[in-house]
Amino acid sequence: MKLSKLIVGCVIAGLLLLARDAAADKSVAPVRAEPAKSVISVQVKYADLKGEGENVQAKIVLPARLRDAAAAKPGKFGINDGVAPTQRSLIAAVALALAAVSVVFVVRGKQLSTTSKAAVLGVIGLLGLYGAAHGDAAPMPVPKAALIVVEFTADATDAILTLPAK
Amino acid sequence: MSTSALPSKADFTSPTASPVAIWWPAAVVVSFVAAAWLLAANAPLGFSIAAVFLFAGPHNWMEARYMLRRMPARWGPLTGYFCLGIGGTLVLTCWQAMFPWLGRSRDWTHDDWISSIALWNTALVVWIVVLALLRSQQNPRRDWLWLIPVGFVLIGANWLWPLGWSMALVYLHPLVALWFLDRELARAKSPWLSGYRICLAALPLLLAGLWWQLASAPNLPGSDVLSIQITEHAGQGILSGVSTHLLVATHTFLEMLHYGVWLLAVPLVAGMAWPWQIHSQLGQTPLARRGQVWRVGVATVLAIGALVMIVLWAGFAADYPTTRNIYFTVAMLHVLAEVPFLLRVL
Repeated sequence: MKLSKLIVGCVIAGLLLLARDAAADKSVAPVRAEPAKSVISVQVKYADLKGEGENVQAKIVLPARLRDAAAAKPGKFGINDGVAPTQRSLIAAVALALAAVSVVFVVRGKQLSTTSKAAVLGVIGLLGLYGAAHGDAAPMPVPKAALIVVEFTADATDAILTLPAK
Repeated sequence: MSTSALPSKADFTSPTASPVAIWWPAAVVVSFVAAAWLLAANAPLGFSIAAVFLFAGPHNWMEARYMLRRMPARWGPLTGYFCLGIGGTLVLTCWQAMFPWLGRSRDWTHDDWISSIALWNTALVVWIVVLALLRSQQNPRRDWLWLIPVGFVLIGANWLWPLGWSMALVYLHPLVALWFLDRELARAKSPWLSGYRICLAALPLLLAGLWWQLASAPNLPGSDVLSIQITEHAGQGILSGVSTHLLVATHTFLEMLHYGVWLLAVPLVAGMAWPWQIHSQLGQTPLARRGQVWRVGVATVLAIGALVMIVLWAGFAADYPTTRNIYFTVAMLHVLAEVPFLLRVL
């Protein structure tokens, strides 16, 4: 009896040690740490921004050292250079296209009624329309949004926010 | 218990047959489902904890026994099918279990995680479709070529919504047990089959009732590790805007049906020996009839399964959240192992 208890105890201890790495239920997407902050003072100015371009609502001039510091930081924040969502969408598109092609091969040898064939084609057509409407591979028309011009300059020590003249 | 103990169709059509043989299963099923529904709706967290503690290990052991029973003594032309089935089960399980380690060691970003999950899901679909096509070449032959476009559609949907796809697996897995039971009833030519299918038709109504009652329920209280584990397992964080009470209740209700099928219904319908009837169990396992070495091997596998079940209970008693984490990592093995055996009975 003592031996069996010892074995059970050892197995439980082993499982508990292994458990430190087990994470079936944990959130699959780990929360990323916030990037370090740089705090600088801001001067607010009012000026005519028409010369900056259409829809420009503000202009910020930042010290060049901020850009240099940001560029020097390694890590994977911002745009991921791995598989981006658009690439996943493209893989999905290839799979769905293969599905459509394989349907043709599967249906071709069948003795299906015209109604059945029409139904299959109808479903494929609807899926295609849905995909075309929701796909993000083609550039979508972007509504004109308010813009902010960001400039880096070695001359500035503070951030200078320029707003349209009232 | 053996298959000869099952009521045959003649027992139910002869004038001397007792109507109790029809009604007692109905009474058991209705009571079981009603109790599971009420407990899941009113105490989802507690019910989930108790159900996993009591039934997780035993139902896996019963599934293992069922699969051993359904595996032929000599594979012959089925060698490729079973090698792919067992090999794929092991590879996919190990691959998924390595995710946390891979994620940490390679410093995966959110996108890396999503893409890895989508890749695993793709491998799963390819494995299932190839297995199904191999199965379709065996007797009774099936025309399952349509699975190819369906597989591609599933892969496409997976790459669009990888987490949603994985969540669908969590909710669909319990339903696979109901499919096994349907096939077992059909195999035994049981007169309970039609009644069972009527019960199956009621399942959407029960789920609709659950959702209607809990649609506006507040989220479950509790910020402890266990509560978070259970709610995340049920889809919190993936399905936004849905009450965690509703999610956990739905998942626990389906899980309980799954446990009931594997622990009560399938052993009864398939005529499986009682757990303590060692010789009968071995006699029902074709592999064990192949020779003395195989008999010892099968007996060892069954004994190890029973030991793991006991260790699991001890682990749950000692540290429930950690043991639950380990269990659901390893449990992928039984989820995947069901696939080749389900395809064999279709």
